Amino acid sequence: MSDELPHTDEELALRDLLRQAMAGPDRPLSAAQTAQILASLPARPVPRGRLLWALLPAAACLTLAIAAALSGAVPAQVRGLAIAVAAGNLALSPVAALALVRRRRSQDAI
Amino acid sequence: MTEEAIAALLQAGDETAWRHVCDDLGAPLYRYCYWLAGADASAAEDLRQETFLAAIAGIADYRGGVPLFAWLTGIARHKASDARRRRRRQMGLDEIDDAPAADPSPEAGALASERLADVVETLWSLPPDYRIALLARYMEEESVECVAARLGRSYKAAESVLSRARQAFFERFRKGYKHVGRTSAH
Repeated sequence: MSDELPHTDEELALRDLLRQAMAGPDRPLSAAQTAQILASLPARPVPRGRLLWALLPAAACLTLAIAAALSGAVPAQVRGLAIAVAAGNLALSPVAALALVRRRRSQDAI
Repeated sequence: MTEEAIAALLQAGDETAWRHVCDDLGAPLYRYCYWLAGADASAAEDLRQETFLAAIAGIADYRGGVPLFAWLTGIARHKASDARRRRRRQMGLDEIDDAPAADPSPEAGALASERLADVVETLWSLPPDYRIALLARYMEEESVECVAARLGRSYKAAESVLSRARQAFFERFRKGYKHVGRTSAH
């Protein structure tokens, strides 16, 4: 055995132990297994600040649309558009809320 | 990043941190479970998955005082021992298993297998530089010069890392292996 190779008893013992232990199969987690593990992470509450920034533009848009729909000073075509936007916004809000609740529940169930 | 900082991220439920743990420790944990399950590949898959799920559920208990891999192997060991107990209960073999075995080879095989699990645990509980150096030098039989190049250090520094890594390995391994000897004696 040359100087470049392990030669003390301790080194030889270590070499044998490592060789035996590392002879076991090497199997990283598959993407599906990782996804299953990560899906069990508890849902994190959305930080208040981020929630506010997400809601603010939608609320501003809705307020503007309602104001335009109720105002007599804007042209009829713009009012019609504002009414459609406001109605659409109001109609879709419960659907979006329901989707969010369902998603949260399914995450909790896992 | 320190173990404490990683622990804090994991406890906060940081998905990226958990994904890193899955990527970095998934394969060595499988190898550990494989030996712990007596070289049963399918049992090892189940054991690893159960271990990760239990780790997420119990991450609040992890303080970062021990290497994360050692903490995970502790969970795996508990899960494996629970599974063994369940299997015995289902088969009604408690009395048979407690009796002295006529043929000691299965017991000896299980002990040897647990010893290899301990080697994996010890290796992945060492600092990464130590692990890289040991595997390169003793598994792949690379020269000290190659180990030095891998670590980005001088020849002398690589020799020193190898010496400290060997010492750390055997200290940790002997400590862990005493535990295996004690439990198997029961």
